[in-house]
Amino acid sequence: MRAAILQGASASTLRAAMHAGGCRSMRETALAMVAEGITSLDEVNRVVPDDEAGPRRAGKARRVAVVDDDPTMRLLLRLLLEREGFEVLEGENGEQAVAVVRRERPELLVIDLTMPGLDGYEAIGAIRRELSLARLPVIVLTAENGPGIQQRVLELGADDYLVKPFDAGVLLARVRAALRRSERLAA
Amino acid sequence: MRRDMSIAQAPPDCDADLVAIIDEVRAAFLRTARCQVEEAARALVTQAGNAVGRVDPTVLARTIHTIKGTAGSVGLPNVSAAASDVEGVLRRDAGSGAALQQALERLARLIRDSDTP
Repeated sequence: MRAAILQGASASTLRAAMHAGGCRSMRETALAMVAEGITSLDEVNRVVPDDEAGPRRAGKARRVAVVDDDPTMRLLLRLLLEREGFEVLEGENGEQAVAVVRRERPELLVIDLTMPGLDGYEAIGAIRRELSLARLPVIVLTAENGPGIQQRVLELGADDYLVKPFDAGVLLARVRAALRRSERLAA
Repeated sequence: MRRDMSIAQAPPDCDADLVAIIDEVRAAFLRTARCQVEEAARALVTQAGNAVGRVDPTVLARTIHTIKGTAGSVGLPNVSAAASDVEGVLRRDAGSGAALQQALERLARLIRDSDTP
């Protein structure tokens, strides 16, 4: 969005950029910036990288953060994703999810809902409240399948929702699709 | 032994390494789940007559929930279904001693059977 402003983009282009960044209006964008203490363009530069899709790691494996309290599930996801050439970062609860995406800026997050401490719902909410993480693709992978859960997590800001038990091929296809969408938005 | 492999039941052209991954994770899962479920069942036996006994129902519910999700994802839908049954018993009445014992023993048996080469 910053690049668009500097290049004199039209109002509609800026609005599209804000939508892509997870903000619905100029007012919401301004409020999000103020909430994070951002009051100058220098601060915007610091928080929002030029490549808003996250650091492009030219020549390096794309990184996926996997957060689940079950070590067996993390092992399964790690092996499946590494087989596809991704680098995998791990966390076992919501606190670690927020910490790892803040620190490492992965290209995508796969997260469980039911975890001790900060759960998946709270973690997704926390991530979406941070302007610099607004465009991180988030896939929820959970055994929770009750009424209204899918709607709730999508409205919280998750991009996709997959129920355990899951099909490995479908999960990998969803990961690739989420990354494609993210890259198109950043283009 | 019946092993339904939703993932591992690969189509003929599926990569062998995907099957190997599922096999590896399934073996790790079965080792862990077997210990967890047998330990819970033993704890219930020692407290026969008391509902749930020394087993913390919250911890047990989380463990069983995890087993349900992981078992199905590594090609063990029958284990996943049995874990779902245990969840149902826990939800209905926090698990009466006998009903919970029975459901846990069935789950433990299925895990043991699946772990047998």
